[in-house]
Amino acid sequence: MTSILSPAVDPRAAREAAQWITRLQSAPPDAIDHTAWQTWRAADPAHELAWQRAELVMHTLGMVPPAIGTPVLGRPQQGRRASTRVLAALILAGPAALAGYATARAAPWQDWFADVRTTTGEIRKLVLDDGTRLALNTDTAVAIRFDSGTRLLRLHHGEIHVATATDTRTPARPFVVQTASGRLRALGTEFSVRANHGVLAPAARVAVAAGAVEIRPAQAPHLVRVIAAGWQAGFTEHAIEPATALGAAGARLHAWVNGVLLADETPLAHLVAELARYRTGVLRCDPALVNLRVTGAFQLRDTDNILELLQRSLPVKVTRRTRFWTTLEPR
Amino acid sequence: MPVPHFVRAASSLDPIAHLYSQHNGWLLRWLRGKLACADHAADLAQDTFLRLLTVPADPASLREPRAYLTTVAGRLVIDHYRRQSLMQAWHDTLAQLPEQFAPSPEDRLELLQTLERIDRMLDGLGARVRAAFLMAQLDGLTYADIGDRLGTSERTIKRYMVQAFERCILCIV
Repeated sequence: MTSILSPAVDPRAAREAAQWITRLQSAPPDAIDHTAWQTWRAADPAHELAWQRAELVMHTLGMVPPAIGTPVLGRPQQGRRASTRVLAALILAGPAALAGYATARAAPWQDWFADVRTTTGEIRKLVLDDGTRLALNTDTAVAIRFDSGTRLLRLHHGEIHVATATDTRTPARPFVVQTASGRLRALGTEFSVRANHGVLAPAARVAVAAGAVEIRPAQAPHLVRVIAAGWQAGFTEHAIEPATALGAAGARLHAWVNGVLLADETPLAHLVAELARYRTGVLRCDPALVNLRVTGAFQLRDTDNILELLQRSLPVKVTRRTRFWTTLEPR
Repeated sequence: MPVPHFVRAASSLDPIAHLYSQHNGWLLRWLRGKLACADHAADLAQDTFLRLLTVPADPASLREPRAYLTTVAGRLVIDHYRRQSLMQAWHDTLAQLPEQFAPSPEDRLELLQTLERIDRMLDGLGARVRAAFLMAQLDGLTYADIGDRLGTSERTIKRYMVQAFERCILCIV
């Protein structure tokens, strides 16, 4: 269906855009010919239009949390010669969903421009040109662009922890972290940023350990707000949530920098969602268990070992259906 | 006796009004046969004529108004059932979702509208294509994993993806 507001896409360009996006999603990044892709886009305005629609499709899909999208959109289709067996399989997969946090939702075509990235389960620390210390949490991609005017870090996805250094150049260049939902300016500081696909839009959360950070939402730059040390705030491209005090959660939020996952009376569901970020495949928690509380310090290096520990200390058992499918169930 | 001028003007300027007076009766009866609720039938009859106002019809199709109107109305009936099953699945899903995963009340409307957009965009795709597409795009499974689950090759899954993306790119509004 097309309307006056959205011009119709040329069917052939749509086909080619679909082939590109599929190739970009499935091929390993180093096997992709960027030049050919860019050449295709630039060759014809019809291609560019089709590509923009493709991006809109991905953006729209990205707004849906899997926990809801999978069962709702994957419901059996009526009045069609549907293969019920397949759909049943999908509904079973639905709860994976609860593992929403567990599956990587990266928009893969953003990653190639990233200079540094970590794979699922990897934590990486580096020192930047100006002495700033940067840590990348699991499944994170950042592009570092320092030039004469700005020290810019683009967070494509994932989570980073930054401890800025005083700039080596004079005049000092601002240190900026750009996310899909907005721009953060460090005001002499130590902080972490996590970008995720919020329920409705790209969302990010900044937690400030020292100094202060200024938030400027991408679509509402006038809503600028400064978050001080000991506070955190979530924001989307349109709005900033009221800041909340970190309190004891502060240590927990930054513990991953040292490879540790801290739990303090944490609901099991939260812990599992957090663990799932460090594992490939699906890790889910039986709904009967979500309110069990857990306290402890866990080494993120070995998440299988954490599951083993949970099994020993809580009334749960870990069931591995396949290599990619692990469930915590009541014992 | 010559036809009064204003009558001729009205019928030529407003073929939709003419169609409406000629065809609303049987269309309503036809829709009542397809839908349990008489109110829905009346709504969909209205929508059928509204569709003629908003989407310019091919003049050839208006020469066979009955066939044309049944096609448009039939599509709206399918759409009505599709939306009904979407709402059902939405309510069931929210009811079963652990509290911490539930969207806030203010996010719900927008999320439901997004789901409705996607649902319409995917409408008409084969069940396997749709299932594979959702596994990849929502659950983040790799094409190889999906192939394993659906008992088919990664190559076939790639073909499914191209098919689904193509449709989405053409249909998204």
